[in-house]
Amino acid sequence: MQIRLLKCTDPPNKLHKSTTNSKNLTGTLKDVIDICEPVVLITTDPTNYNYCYISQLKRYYFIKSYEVYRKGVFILHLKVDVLMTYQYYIENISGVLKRSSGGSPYASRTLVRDVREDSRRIDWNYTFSDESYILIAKGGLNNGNV
Amino acid sequence: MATYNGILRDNSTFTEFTITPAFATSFTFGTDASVTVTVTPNSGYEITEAKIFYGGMEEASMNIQSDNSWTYDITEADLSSMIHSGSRYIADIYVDGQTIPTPPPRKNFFTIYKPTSQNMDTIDNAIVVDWSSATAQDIIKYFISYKRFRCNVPTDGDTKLKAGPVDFNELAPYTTSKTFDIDCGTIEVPELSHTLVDYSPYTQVRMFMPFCGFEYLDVEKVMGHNVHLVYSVDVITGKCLAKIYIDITNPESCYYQFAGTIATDEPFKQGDDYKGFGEAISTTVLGDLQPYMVISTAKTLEGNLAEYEGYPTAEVIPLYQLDGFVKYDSVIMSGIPSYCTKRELSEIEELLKSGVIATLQTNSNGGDSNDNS
Repeated sequence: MQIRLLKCTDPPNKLHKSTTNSKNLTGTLKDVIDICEPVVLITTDPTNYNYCYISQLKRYYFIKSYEVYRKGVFILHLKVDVLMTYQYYIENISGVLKRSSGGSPYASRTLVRDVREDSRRIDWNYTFSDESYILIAKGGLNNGNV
Repeated sequence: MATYNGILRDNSTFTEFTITPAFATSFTFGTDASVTVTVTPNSGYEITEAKIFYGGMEEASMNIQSDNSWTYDITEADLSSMIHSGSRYIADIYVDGQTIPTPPPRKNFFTIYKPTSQNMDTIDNAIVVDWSSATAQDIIKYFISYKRFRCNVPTDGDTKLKAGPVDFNELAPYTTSKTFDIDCGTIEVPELSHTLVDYSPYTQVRMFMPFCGFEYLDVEKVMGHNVHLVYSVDVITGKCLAKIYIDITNPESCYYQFAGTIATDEPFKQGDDYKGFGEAISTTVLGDLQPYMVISTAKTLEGNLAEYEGYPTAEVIPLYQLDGFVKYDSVIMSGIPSYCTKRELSEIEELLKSGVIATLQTNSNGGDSNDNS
């Protein structure tokens, strides 16, 4: 069975992961396998790898752990990466978003905040600097005061 | 299209109304176009009838409009009836109207002066003693109030300074307006963090208005808007009304009004209860004289939330149109190939609901996953 060992530094929950350091080798499935968590025997040191692709199973796998079975033989414990495996199907899935990086920063949510606060002051460019004295006298303008 | 030179017969100017277009105007007609002659009454005058004559034979009534102007559309067909010389056509306008009667000015029992120092000196000397007759005279009873305003009160010019029957034989500035406005201008209230932190309950807006004091405003009303402050001042009582306009609407609307006192009584009567200083304290006349706004905003301890948790939303959108952290509330699991096990299907749904990192795709492949390494 063809196995491609890979190195992946992307977070596990990333849909489209990038991989490096590929190395093709032949491995053997150990006993009865769970397709989601298979166990594989290989004769290559997997120390520098954390990820693999098995074309026969059409799946990408995380290398959960490995054991040295005997000299030069290693047992890989794998876990399927459903996101990378079905990435081009998953990206077409639609639904109601709950949160996203492109969501509204103004949407109501609970904030963790400091009890202290920042204050800023905005002044009007106007000051009541004038003053006037107003005297009101009896007798209207139309009553002889003009 | 043809061009005609229209002549309105009498090119005199009238004080009662205005005719447009002007006399001896070149009219340009299109296929269905017309030239509108408008007679507009000037201020203080109203038009009761307006007619247009052309050729001295035909006449047509003009039509009154909602703004009280009268109009008539001269069409190319009308030209056939008009007297003309070459391309010059002549029309007469007949206008009948009347002057709008204006009510007599309202009579007040008082006169509002803005006395100069010289005026006050004259009054002061008259108050104490009339030295010419060597008798004290009580002219104070002819004054109603004397107030100090913390603003400039505009005047209408000078008039004779009199109080009741007493003539001081000099001029003093006066005003006939009982109220006037002071426009303090507009400030812009910009957001600080461009998030919900700029709004309640995380931000509070408190405004100080001279003579009115501190008042809280709704942060949602002012944030990101222009705030315009105008005072209306009552010259007789010394009261003022601070009006806050916000450009949430176009034109801006008044959202808040706060009353205050912008003037204090000055002592000038014998035995009068001087209220000036006490009133100044109680009405904040002695406070700051510049309006300002204080915006208090909570300090959030939230980091780069968008990258790690995203912001709340409720859009319905496929994953390939998104970039960065994405978390679905509900999804429709369709289009997954048949070799995907039930356990894998459940895991995909669980991951989409707990959050995945997507990369924006220009075009979705919608196909099988390839070994692309």
